[in-house]
Parts: sequence; C-alpha cells; structure tokens
Amino acid sequence: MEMERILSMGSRLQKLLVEAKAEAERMVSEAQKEADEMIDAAKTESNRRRMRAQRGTGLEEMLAEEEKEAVKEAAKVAKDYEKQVGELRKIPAEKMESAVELVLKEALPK
Amino acid sequence: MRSIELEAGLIDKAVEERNTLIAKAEARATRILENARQEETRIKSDVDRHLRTIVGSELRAVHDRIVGRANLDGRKMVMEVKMELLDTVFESAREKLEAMAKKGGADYQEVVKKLISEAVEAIGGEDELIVSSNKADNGFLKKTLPELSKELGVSLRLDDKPIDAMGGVIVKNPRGTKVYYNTLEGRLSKVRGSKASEVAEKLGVI
Repeated sequence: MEMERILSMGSRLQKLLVEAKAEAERMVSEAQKEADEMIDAAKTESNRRRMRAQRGTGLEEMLAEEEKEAVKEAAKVAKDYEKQVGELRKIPAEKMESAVELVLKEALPK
Repeated sequence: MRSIELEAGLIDKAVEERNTLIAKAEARATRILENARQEETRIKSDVDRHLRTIVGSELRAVHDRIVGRANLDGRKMVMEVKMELLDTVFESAREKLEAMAKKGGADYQEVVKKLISEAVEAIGGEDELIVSSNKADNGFLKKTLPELSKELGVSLRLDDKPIDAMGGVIVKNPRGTKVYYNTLEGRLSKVRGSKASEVAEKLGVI
C-alpha cells in the first residue's frame, strides 16, 4: 500500500518536471519568436526607409527629427546668450565709473 | 528512512529541478530579447547613417538655419547690450562735461584755454584767428582772449555770433578756409569713435 503511494507520487513529480520542461521551452520559444519579429520589423522598416530615400521621398521624417533636435539646440544657444546678457547687465558701478573717467580723460585736453 | 521522509525528499528535489529549469529558461529568454534589441538598434543606426549620407546636406541646412539663426540673434542681443552699456558710459560723461561747462568755474575756463591753444597749434601759420563759443562762455572769453593772444603769439578775436554747443570752441582763420572744431560734443564724439574698444575693455565686456 505504501509502496503504491510512493510510486504514484513519483509519477506525479515526473509529470511536473515534464510540464516544467515544456514551459521552459515555451518561454524560450516565445522570446525567440518576439526577437525574430523585432528584428524582421526593424529590417523591413529599414529597407522601406532606404528605398524611399533612394526615390527621394520619405525624408520628411528625418528632416522633422533634425528640425526638432535643432530647435532644442537653438533653445540652449539662446539660453546661453541670455545668461551672457544677464552677466553683462550686472557690471559693478565702480567699473562704470572707471569707464566714464577714462572717457573724460580722453575728451578733455591734456 | 521512513516513507514520509522519502516522499518529502522526492518533492524537494523535483521542485528544485523545476525551478532551475524555469530560471534558466527565463535567463535565456531575457538574453535573446536583449540581443534582439541591440540588433534592432544597430539596424536602425545603420539605416540612419546611410540616409544621412544621402540627405546630409539637407539635414545640415536645417540645422544651420535654426541653430545659426539662434546664434545670430544671440550675438546681436549681446552686441546691443554692449552698445547700451557704452551709450550709458558716454551719456554719463556727457552729463559730467555739461555740468562742468554750466558751472563755468576755474577748471572749466582752464579747459577752454587749452582747447583754444590746441586749435591754434593745429591750424598754425595764421596771424589772426576767430574764436567762436557758446553764449555762456563769451563773457569770460572776452576778458581772457587778449591775454591768451599774447601767450600764444596770435591775435584771437571773439566771434559775435555764439555757437550752439555745450562748451568748447570752434577756431577759424578770418577767411574761413581753416576751421578747427574743438567743442566738447565734438571731442566726446571723437573719443567714442577712437576709444570705444578701450572703454569696453575697461567695462570688461570685450
């Protein structure tokens, strides 16, 4: 009786392992399928873009992307200049006074 | 070994084996997807690079148009602020000169004498010269010119018609063929033309 119980359990555990193996294979197979699809899609898209570019069409996307990047860069450039202008406006009064003195020295006869 | 212990051992072993199988499969699946993502990125970069060689000049034109404009506007803005600062300095100097001329004290009178002397020297070779000044300076020049004439060795005559100037003088020969403008405005304007970069340097904006 006891031996039968152990044999039955052994059989169930064996089944569990078979199922686990099948699950593992399914996981790898699904990942491989997803990967293949991903690469195929990239290749298809890349060929499509290449063909369109060779025909001189489909560049709008790249130009739009470039424009987007350029606008970002331009905003940074503008910000840098604004910072520079801000610094210029902070000239200390002594420096201004010293410049005025220089002008007066040059304007008045020696 | 009791049968219950045997059973527990079998279960543990089976579960461990199952977990190992699943963990290995998960790791492999992750690796496969990661490699695929890298490959996808490489394919996209390749085509981008290829397309850039085809439309590089157009892309550069887009970039240059937008970023170039921002640079141009920025430089213009900086230049305008520098000009504003120079304007402020020269306006302040002008106000000081005007105040000095209006006050008409000994310092200013000395300045006017030097301006006349400088003009006489610059014109040179004349026996007689006419000095024009604004209305406010005419009074003291009437008194000063005879003495200055002796000092400079030339006959200096005051023009009856006053000039519209903040201060300083215009000196000319009687025929009006030689004229030396030595007004304060003129000198200030000359300094602006010739010393602007020095002033900017003084301000630390160069």
